[in-house]
Amino acid sequence: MKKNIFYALCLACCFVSCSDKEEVNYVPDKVEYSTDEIDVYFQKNFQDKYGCAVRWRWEDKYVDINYVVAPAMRKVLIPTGEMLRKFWIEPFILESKESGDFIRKHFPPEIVCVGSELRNPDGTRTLGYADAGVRITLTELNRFDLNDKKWIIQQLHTIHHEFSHIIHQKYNMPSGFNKITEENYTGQAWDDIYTNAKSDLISSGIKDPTPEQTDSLSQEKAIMRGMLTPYGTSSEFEDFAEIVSIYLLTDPTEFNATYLIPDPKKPYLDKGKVFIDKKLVMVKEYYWSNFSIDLSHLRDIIRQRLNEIKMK
Amino acid sequence: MMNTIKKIIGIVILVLCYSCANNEVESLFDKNPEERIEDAKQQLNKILVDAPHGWKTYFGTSDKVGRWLILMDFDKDGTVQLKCDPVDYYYLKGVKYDEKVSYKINFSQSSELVFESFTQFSAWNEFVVDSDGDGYFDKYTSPETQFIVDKYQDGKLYMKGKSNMGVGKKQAEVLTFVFEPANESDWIFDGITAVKKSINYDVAKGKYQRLSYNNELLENLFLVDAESRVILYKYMGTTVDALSTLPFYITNKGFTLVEPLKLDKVGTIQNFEVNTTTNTIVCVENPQLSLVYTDKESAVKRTPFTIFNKMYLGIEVYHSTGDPIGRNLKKVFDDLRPPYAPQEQHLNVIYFANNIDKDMGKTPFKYAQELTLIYADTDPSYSDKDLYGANPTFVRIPVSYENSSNRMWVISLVGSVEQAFIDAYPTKVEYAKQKAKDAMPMMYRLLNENGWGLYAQAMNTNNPTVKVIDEEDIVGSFFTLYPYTVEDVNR
Repeated sequence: MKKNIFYALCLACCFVSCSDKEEVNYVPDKVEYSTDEIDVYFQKNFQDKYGCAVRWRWEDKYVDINYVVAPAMRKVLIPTGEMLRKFWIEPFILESKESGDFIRKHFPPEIVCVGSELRNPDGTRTLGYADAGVRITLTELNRFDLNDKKWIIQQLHTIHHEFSHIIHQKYNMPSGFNKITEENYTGQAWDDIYTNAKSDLISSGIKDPTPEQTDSLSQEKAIMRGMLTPYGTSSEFEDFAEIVSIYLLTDPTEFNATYLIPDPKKPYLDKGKVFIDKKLVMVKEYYWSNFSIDLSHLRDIIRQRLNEIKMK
Repeated sequence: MMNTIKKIIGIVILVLCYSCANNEVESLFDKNPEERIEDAKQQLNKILVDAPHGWKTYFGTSDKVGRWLILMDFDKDGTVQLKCDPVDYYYLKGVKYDEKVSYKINFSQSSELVFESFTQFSAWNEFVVDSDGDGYFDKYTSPETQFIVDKYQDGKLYMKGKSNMGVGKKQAEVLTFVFEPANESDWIFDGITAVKKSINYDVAKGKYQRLSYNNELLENLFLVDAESRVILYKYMGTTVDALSTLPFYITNKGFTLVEPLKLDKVGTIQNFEVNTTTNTIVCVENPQLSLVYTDKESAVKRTPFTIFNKMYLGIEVYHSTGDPIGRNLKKVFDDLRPPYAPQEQHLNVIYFANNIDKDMGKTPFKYAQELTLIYADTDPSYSDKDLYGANPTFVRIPVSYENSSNRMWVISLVGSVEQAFIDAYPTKVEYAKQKAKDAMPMMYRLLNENGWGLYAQAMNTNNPTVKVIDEEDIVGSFFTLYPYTVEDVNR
């Protein structure tokens, strides 16, 4: 009996202490959509269709404070959206139904638009980049010019490269891809390829190599390792992304001559080209068997559209 | 039993005490943090929107150049109409973004004004300045996108540029800009244009700009570069002449130094009023002081162009389309080569250089200061004159150099142009004379017209270009100044 009284009192006290005084109902925030024409455009064409927020209004949290940057001009933003649609989204949709479903399903949730390059305090520049496969940052948009081949290829390379990262991060790499040139990855030292190339040129008697000479030799050094670019040598993931993006954006004849077909004048590249060929076959098979995407067809669509604009 | 009852009573008392205790801490503020932040943002927005004619500030992010007027009319709908005095420091046409953009008010430790897209403030991302006065334009200025409110005092907003507060910035480098309410008349820039024209150094008005106090010339130079909005102020230091650049901004009525200047026997000065009709420029703080032109030399001299001691300054050719071609001279010269004159060499490069012991052809300079014209072909099959290889023709013209107040090169001819050509083509005198005659109009303009646009500027594609109208071979093309190091030349 005493115990019962004791427990009853304790229970009563709990109710006294813990009961809510007011009943709270959840009221969702009312969303007010912007009527700014740029917001309306991105809402309609990116947010509603692909669930992607395009960050064009300046927010310093999206860019490292150490960079010197300028925001995008209003006049380049909608054209940038159209460029993304024409050379990235629509080719996937046109390639096949499966391909269209694929891009809708894996579209990055966030794209950040920056007007200038990302300038480091020492004056060097950083191009576009992606954060963990969820945010793609496009830079130098204020130089928007569809006739400028270098500019447009740089922008599309960023997009396709980062988009391919999203894919392998979600579905893993093609089985065995990392084994083909396992010993040839350079990690953080990938940038040394440029330094070494410059040193080699100087040793060969070229006193002050031009950037073009250095880039050319650096690329050959990457190909010898079985990768397309020096950056591609940093890891199998970057290797994969470089193969996909460069394959999709490069003229087929040029791609084959540069990366696949043996050149009698440069037999030292042959072994690397065999590696690249193997990996390219693997990547194509990976896209086809997992997602029913024909990369060759996708490339043809993109190239056809690129050829329609007069790039210089 | 009693013990049990005591325990129960004790527990009940404890529980009741707990239940009844007031755990709330009395707030120091009437509102919670979110509400207070919102209030601060609303307050700043109200200040900005309530100004009937908007706001103005004189903007520039480097003390190596001056400040330019930017007007802002904020609307409560979150947009701001901008109007800007064009920055003519770099481009003859001027840089201005008179656009309507969106803005927002943020709050971190203080209220912040954020322009959400590119504005005139952002355009400073592309400007390069000579940061240490050595003649190399070596450092980008900072753009600005957001301003932190430092204080609101006497109707003015004191705004710190947030980009200037990045990692590694010293406190002294953080720039504060004053936003003050604009007048209706501020939105009309005619006055600025007239004042700029009136104050800018013009050699036709006199050799020197100097300060006159009580009708006596002070022993200093006060040369106004209205394009860069700086005054090159040269004065007697304790032991040697001292030179400093004084940034200023132009108003509708005159100009104002960004920082006050203290002059011996005169006092502190900062503002000058300009009568554009009479071309008189009088100090506001001390009307006995005025800025005048004179041919009389001061105790201090003009600045020798010592940049030539450190590097070459060549001129390279741009396509007539204006497309930059960098240093790929070969293709450009091949493209420019007139098909109708396969045997003729054409002008490739103009150099200005002091007497350093090597040049592109590894031939010593002939004069202490000379202007070198290099005639060559990039394809030796044309005339065996290869710019980078065999024996191009160097025409060496003796000149003297100075730099003027507005950073133009003042290049004076010392010897004969015709003789220089004859010296260059000793076996073909008539050909040389004709070549000299052809080049004379260009030489004349180069050496005699200060307005030819030979600014010593930066090492990037922002270099100003000069359209050639006199040299037959490359008429319609563009020259651009390009600094060469000795390494470039040796290459």
